[in-house]
Amino acid sequence: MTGVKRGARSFAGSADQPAIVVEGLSKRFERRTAFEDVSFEVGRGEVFGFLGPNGAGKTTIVRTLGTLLAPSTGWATVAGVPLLPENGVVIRERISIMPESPGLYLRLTVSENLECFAGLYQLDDVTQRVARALRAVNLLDRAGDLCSALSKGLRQRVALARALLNEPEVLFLDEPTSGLDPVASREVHGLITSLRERGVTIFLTTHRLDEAERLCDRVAILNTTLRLIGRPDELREKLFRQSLEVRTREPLADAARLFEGRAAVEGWRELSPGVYALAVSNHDLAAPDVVRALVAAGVDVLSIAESRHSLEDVYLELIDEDVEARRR
Amino acid sequence: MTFSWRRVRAIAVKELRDYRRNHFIVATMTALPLIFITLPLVQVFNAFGHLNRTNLNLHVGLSMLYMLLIPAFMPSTLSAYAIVGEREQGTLEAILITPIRREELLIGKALAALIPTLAIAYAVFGIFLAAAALFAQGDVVSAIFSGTHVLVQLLFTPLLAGWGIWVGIAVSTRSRDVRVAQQLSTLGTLPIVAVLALMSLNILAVSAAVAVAFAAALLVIDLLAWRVVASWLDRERLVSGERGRRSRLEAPTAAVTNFEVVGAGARISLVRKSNVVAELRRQPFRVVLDGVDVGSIATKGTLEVPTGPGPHTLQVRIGRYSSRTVRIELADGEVAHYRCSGGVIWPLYVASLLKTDLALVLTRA
Repeated sequence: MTGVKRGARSFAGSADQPAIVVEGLSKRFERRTAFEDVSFEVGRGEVFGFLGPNGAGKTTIVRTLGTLLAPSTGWATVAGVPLLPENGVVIRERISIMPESPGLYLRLTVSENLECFAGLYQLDDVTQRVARALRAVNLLDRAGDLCSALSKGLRQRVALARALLNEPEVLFLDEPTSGLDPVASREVHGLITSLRERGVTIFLTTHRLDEAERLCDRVAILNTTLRLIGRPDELREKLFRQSLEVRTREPLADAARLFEGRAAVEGWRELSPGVYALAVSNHDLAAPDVVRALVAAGVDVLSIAESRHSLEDVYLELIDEDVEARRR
Repeated sequence: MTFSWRRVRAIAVKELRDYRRNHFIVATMTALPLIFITLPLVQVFNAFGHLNRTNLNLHVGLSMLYMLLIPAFMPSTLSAYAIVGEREQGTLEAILITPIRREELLIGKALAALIPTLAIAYAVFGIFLAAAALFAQGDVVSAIFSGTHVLVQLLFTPLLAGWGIWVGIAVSTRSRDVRVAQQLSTLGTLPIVAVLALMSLNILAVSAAVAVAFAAALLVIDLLAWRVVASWLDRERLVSGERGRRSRLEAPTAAVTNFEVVGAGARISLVRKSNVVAELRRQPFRVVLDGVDVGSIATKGTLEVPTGPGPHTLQVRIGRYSSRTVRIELADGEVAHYRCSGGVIWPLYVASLLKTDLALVLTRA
């Protein structure tokens, strides 16, 4: 076969090409820098979480990758298309962004809102597309309702249906559960999980760490610069040593003799009388050996447990470091 | 990517639905025609035989002026809401992240203001003419239908509406408050209304030829205003409220390597030079092959673009300015040589401000 695929179609990405590639991307405004020298890749079908405090540049990155803002330096490809002003329309046809605010026309019905956007994407079979998108967010029975009559959670679901209309290759969700109550948040989480199962690449910005931990394959922590990137468990391991917490009925008379030299135990300290934290290289090796030593010494062991650090610990550690650095 | 009337229609339909359900707009659109049909009718039915010809013309002129206030103020108020209103209800970003072009958004918004305005203004004028023809005195009817009154009304209704729309949208792109936008856009229509008032009241005596010339001038102003307002509809400014500091981005090599070349392929070799004098536009050009940016070329630079056999389109661009699109048919293994430059002819440079594909030159070498 001889030939070339050209134009917008030539960018049809294959499964092995990343959905997003960002290299040294920065965005500076006249009086501030939104983000600086950011590089990462997002694989196809991946749920990628972007975490950071308010003002860290998360929304600006989404807007930049969504072609609303031009980057100051660096380059990127989005859905396989180079991020250049000339390719703005092609990129916007292939992606969707659900902004933090649902941005619905409140005097229009749910289906009228979606029909308008189906027109903007020049979609065929508008009625079917709208019905499919509403079915995906379980709102088909509310198609004729005015958006002003919907609760905040339902409006967010309509916004998600709108983002699904063009069946995007990459879906950007900017703080999708911001301001929602726990029930509505859980519904949105369920929708994100179902999208993930359908293989949609999702770029999720949030400052809800439980949300990122539950939904994302990998996360990146941004605070103007990219501070850390990886799977949530990798990040925990990077920042925190593994540890065991041992509780005994009475404080140990000679803790050093009992803990030092045990398999995989790298250090220990007393947190409070009868409570000890052991730094270990491997929980599975260390725990049985420590238990054996304590029992052999006639110690009453109340509990021995693995200390787990949450993504929140990782996040706070990094952000606190930044705050400290600024103070200095 | 061509201009899409479907996207224009989507915006216009959405706007019209929104107007229909906005009680304030419905009330305004109902009240204004009632006021502006009542006042002119009172004027002409009060114009009895005791008025001399000059005063009669003054009465008729004043009646006509009332009706011109509909296209002057109604669209400017409606379109002042166009952008700032989207921003206020949080829908602006949702619109801008779709593939819509700024010109499409602008035309959609403009049509949504123009269609009801023209319908109401011409309906009011028609009712006025019918009522006058049926019930007014003969000399009044004669004063209405002779002279330039009807011509002025027919010609200036859409042109005045056009001016009001562009002023309204221009203010709306820069404003952060709907009320301020509506007040400023109303002020912006006053200069044109003032000139029309002078014409209608015969203070500025105009013949049909002068009226047509003035209308032509207003048409040119409307077209220029459209271009200016389109350039203000910048996504970055609308979203962030400020211009980002842009440095020149290097085109990623991915733009070229992304093409899936199978077989021997073909190449396009591009050189940038002018034959005689310095180019009028000297920034690096973006090279666009089949609608896709494939790299940049600086003055006296060269660029080779690997591609495949078959039909292609080639264009060079700087921002909104470009060359004409060249169509190329390449055979397998062929190398096509092209030359581009930033133009050297001043009249073409000036013309390119309006027709932007005259700005750069691209020819087969």
